[in-house]
Amino acid sequence: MSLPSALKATRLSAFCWCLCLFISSTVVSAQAPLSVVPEKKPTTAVSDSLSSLFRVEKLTMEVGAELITILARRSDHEEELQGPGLDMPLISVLKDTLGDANPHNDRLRYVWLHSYTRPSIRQRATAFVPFLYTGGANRKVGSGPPPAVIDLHASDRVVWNSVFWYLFKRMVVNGLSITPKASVMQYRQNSVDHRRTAVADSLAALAVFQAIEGEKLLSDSELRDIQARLSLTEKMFGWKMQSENLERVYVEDLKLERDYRARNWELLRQYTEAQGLYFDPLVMDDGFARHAIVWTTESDVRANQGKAFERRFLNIKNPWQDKRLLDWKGYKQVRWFDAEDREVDSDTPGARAKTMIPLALYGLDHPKVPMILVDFRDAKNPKYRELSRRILLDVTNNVLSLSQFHSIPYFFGRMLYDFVTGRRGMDLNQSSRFRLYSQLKLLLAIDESLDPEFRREISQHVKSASINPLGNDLDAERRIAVRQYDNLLAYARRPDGLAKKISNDRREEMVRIRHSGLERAFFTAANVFSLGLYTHREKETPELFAQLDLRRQLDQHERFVREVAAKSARPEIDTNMERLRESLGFIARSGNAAEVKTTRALAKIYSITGTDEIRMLCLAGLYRINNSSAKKELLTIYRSEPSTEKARGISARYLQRALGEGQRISRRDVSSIKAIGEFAAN
Amino acid sequence: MVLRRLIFQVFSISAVLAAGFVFGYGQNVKRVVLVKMDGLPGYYVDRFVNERDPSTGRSQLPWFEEVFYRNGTRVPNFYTRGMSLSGPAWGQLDTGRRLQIKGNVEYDRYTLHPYDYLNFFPYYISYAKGLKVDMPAMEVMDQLEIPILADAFPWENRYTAYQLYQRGNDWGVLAGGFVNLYPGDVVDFMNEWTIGLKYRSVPVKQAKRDIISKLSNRPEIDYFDYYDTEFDHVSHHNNDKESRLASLKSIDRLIGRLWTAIQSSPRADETALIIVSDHGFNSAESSYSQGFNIVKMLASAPGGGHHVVTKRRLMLDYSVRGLYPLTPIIRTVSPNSYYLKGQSEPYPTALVDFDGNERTSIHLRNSDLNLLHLLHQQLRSRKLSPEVRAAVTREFNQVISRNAPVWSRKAGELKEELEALQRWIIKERGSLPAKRPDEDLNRGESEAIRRVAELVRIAEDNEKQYSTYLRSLRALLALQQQGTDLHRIKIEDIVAPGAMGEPNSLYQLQNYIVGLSREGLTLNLEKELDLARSFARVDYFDLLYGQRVRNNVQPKLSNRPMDMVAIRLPLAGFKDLEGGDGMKDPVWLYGGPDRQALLLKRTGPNGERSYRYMSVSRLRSDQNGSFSFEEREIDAGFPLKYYEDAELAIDAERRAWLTSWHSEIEWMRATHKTKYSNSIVGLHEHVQRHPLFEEMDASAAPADQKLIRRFRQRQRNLTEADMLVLAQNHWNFDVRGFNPGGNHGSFLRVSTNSTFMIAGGDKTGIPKGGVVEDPYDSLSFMPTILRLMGKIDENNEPSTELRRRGFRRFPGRVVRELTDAKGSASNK
Repeated sequence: MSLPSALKATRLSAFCWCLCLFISSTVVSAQAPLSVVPEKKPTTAVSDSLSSLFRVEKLTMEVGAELITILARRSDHEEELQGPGLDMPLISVLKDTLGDANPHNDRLRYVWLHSYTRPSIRQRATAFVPFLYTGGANRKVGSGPPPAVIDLHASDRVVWNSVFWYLFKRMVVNGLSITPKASVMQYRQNSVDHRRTAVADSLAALAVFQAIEGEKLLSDSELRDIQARLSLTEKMFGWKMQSENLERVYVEDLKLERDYRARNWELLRQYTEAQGLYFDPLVMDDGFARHAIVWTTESDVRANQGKAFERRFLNIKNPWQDKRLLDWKGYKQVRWFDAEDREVDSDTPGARAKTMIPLALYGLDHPKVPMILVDFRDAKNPKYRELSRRILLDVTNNVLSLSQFHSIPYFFGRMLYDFVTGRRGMDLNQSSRFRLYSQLKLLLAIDESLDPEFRREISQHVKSASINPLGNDLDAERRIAVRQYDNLLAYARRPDGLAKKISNDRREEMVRIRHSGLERAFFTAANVFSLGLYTHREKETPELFAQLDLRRQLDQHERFVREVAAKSARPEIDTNMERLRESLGFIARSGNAAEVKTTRALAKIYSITGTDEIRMLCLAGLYRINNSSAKKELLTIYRSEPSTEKARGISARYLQRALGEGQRISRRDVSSIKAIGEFAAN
Repeated sequence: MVLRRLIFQVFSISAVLAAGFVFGYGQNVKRVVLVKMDGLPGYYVDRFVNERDPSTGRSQLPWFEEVFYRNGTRVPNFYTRGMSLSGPAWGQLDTGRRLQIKGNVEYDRYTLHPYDYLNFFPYYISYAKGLKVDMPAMEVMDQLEIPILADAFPWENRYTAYQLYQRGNDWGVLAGGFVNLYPGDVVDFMNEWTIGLKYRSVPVKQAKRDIISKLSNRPEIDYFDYYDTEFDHVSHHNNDKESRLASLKSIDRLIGRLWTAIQSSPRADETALIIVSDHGFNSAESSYSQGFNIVKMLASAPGGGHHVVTKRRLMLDYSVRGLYPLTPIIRTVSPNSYYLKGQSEPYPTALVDFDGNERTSIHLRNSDLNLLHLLHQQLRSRKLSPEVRAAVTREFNQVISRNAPVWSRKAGELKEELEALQRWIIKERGSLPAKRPDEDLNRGESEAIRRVAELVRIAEDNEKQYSTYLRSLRALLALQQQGTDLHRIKIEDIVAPGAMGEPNSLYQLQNYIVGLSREGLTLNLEKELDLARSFARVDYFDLLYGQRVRNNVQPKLSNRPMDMVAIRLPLAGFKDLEGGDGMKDPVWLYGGPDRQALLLKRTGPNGERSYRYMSVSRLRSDQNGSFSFEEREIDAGFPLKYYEDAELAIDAERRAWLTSWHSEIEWMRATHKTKYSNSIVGLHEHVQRHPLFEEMDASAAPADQKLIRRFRQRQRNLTEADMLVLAQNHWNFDVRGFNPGGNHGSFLRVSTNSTFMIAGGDKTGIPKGGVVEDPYDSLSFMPTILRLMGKIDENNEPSTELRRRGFRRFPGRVVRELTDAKGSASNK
């Protein structure tokens, strides 16, 4: 069935327009537009040593921010092979300190992964080609700053992006013929995967970094927050996560990740053992094995010829029927074992030598089953496993435009397929796949225990498994990272660079201080409907800057108070009281803009504390917070039975004063407060 | 008259005062809040109480420190008495009685009936159908006439949570829990949904809410219990500090909330908060626990080619069928079966329970039943020469003759017992109301009526199942008398499908017949069947101990998964075993052919228990049940490794001390801090039989009741496995999935050291800041609590009220440091 030509032309023009917007929005969302400002002198850079694995650099910016960068040290064997060179920059984090030493107004803002690049024109073009599942080219890096992986300042931008994409797909893409539709969808998928890879790379690096002892320039809680926010990018409502829950997000993720890792370690060991193979976990410097290699020996290959082989979970071909292994030309290694089959040094008395042949390398941080990342006999095996699902999804989603809810049979069929593959354990989980490859790349970059020759072979296999044209060549990652870090530093030193961006961000933050919720909703709408081209910002004044400082401090104190309210049974026993006093005191002094949830937290703390001082601070805070909920809580305290006369008196006075000051109070509560006044007067 | 009245009055007042003294001796604990934590090790709690949290500057577990370390008393050397496994361990804590339930899963050797004490799903479904009232473990306890701690309180005065030994069910808890999944705010709900809603903990969290609210609102409730398995669950999966500490902190917050709720309740002064756990946990941050598939080993040809029955599906989490929760038993079919290929349904030959995972209990079908089955198969074949056929027939009859005395006796006894059971069923059926319980009754009352009905239904099932076994046993015995043409007999008529028969003797386990040998049936010079050459046999002790793995990648682990095998040997098989009167059956520990031990036990005239360790090697049994062994001088490497353990706390010379008789408390004090801790006591507790009704006044019981009690004792005996296999440190036998985080089930101190801490209001008299250094075990828990509440006297005899509720004298040692008003717990 053909469409009328006019309609076709309209759709084509709409498509081109949307495509331009789509690409531009990707760029815009990753990096705000820069304005040209005269250059100033660079600020001081500080370098710190951490461990043999990492070091940290800190660049203090005049604008009142710190750029903290984690670098993987260049390993000794690399120096031996390639001569002295630079350490590999992994991640930079921007901490906006407002230029003072007060940690309460600091805000973590951007995270850059230095191997993450904005795709080149060629990469983008390739990414449009449907069913082209090939790795990235060896791209050149320009002089611009790298794109940030995440803006840690929680915003609803991600929701709007999703909404726009959904509308765009429904209104434009679905009306196109198969080829352009598949192209657009392919690009979208590659683009999403490209970012997911960057998030996974960042998480992989931060997880190892956090586990290493030493001064890190980022506190443990900051590192946990960054990781929690990164992991939330994958979740539907992750953008709405409240800061007081970030600790829980981190802990739950950590538990799940370690559960997967441990279970897969054991599953792989048992199945390797059952098939007469050798299990070799690769332990990283933080003490965890995230990967394992399965080996066989030359003697076993000869001895077991023709034997049956159970390939479930191992996902490799039967080594006992593979004639190539009888005369293996690939990588081999001789290892020595004692009488208890424990690997020992070659000079150990009684040690037996075995010539080991690697069969496969697995990632362990995958739900339910270990995931094969490298098959040393069949380089395409891991890629084909991944592609089998990807092609299925691309055909159903991109070509046939079948949504999950397309029809009842499809819905149930898909659900059944997902359930069965999930239940039985298939190594096809997308997010975990990205993370596993990221971890492997990190392992190859920083682990010194691997034989260099073997490391090169693994790298080759990892390269060949890549299916995203937007990604970069593994060999080029170090060069790209070094170059991008240089660019970021240059960008940070330019007054019209990062400093300007920080300043813009602060002005955007100030909108919250100056404008009501309704006005802010209007500004958001303007931003959304202009596709991000218009962003409302306040003009920076010393007064507003001071208010921003207070607002940020209030945010942190509110977070702490809410955490205490959620966790504590009695703060005197289980909480840092000094910090609680400080936070409550701050809210009592400057908390008029605090949120409704904070008022509930104060009421809760009031009810569980056994200290008068804390109770008084809670009452003062409830008085200070200018919203009707705070006054309702105050009124409840006034009315409640267990309250002391003193507390009732203070509550009454606060309520009356709030009424006199014209604070926000619900009508019903106004009449109750007036009644208190009359009662007191009588 | 006046004098008589005066004497009577004086006597009455004295009696009242004496009773007041006796039952008022315990402190004034009138209300208890019992927090039951599955698998919480005491030493692990202690580690984090003493570690500072950098973010608060306080203890990592501030509420444990505040409540139990500052305001209460803890018993750091509190141990599971027996296997460190939930089913048995909670059974002992909840009843205060000797071990009767000895696994999370038990099988009846005659009927293949599985007792699955952990599976909640069938229970809830049955409860919803109006059938079951209590969890299976509780039903067994009711049959054994053993009440639990909650039974000491009237239904109206107690609140009990979901647990293994659960009486009744309150759907309101589940419903309330689901309603409370919504925190009352959309954004909060989105956050919770994103973090992950934990459906498994819905009833647990609701129980916490209920208890906190009822502490103030329901002053009439004297007993609360709360049960949580989260720490156990996390520890099975994760061995890292962060995951386990997060779980511990959640328990700590619970303690804080309960304590503050108690403090603001009207009965704070007389309320005690108690935390207790059933066992410890063997989890190390530096090692994963490795699994060994014992089911696969038993199904292999060298393992005997058994069709293996388990109650948990292998690789459950990876199987679609594993989602079905009502599967009664799982059969793993062996492709290597010697003579039962394709017959896994009627004839499984091994039953395995591996829960807890550091141990596995194995039942094997009686070797003589295997022999009869094999001979019968041969007789039905037309290939046998007349000479061989005659020899096979003679051997068949000999096997029956050899077993006939035992079988005849048991058949006779069983017949009597089943008849008594039938009479009881008729009587109870008659007394049950025809209609469903009146809706006006409260839940406790209606459940009490339903409970009786369910016990009757279970008895009916029992009667049916045992009658089937009895029929086949009689048919087998009849063969001997009638000289029937054997090849016309169907095997299912003489060997009951699913039945394991009598327990295997040591001789049978050392010479277990698994099939025909490669040579096949062979005659000796006397034209009789040459049993040695005709049949393939397995020595299970050598086989189990000889298992090795090639992937030995963790420094702290051995390449041998099995540590030792434990079985009880009949005392009658030993000659000249020094010990005198009161000797019980010894426990034999097999740690290799040269490293074995006999754990001897005797009971004194007043019931006092004493033990002796005897290092031996090469213990064998002959066909008549006589044992031979070499007594060895103890040195390093013998089972339990007491000799070489630096923590063995004795002043005397080790060799002499270990090989002498000592009382139970002396053994406990000497060994509890060693690697194997109180194993000598625990292994006896687990492996010995503990007569159920010996303390009851048998003469007063009606004849049928005596027979039914004998039947119940028989049922318990029939659940005893042939072998208890114990894993090496950091090894496990889980085949349902993977438990790399850690496991329990062994007798190692890490797994048996559990938690017992208590704190109370001012009137309770519970010492503040006290530490009880003396070791105690789970047998002490219940009498201590009842003593604190003044419900048992100095001799552990229950009050009249408790006696009326079915309680009997408790065998455990009360923690005197807690109950003695003077208090001897050291203050730290």
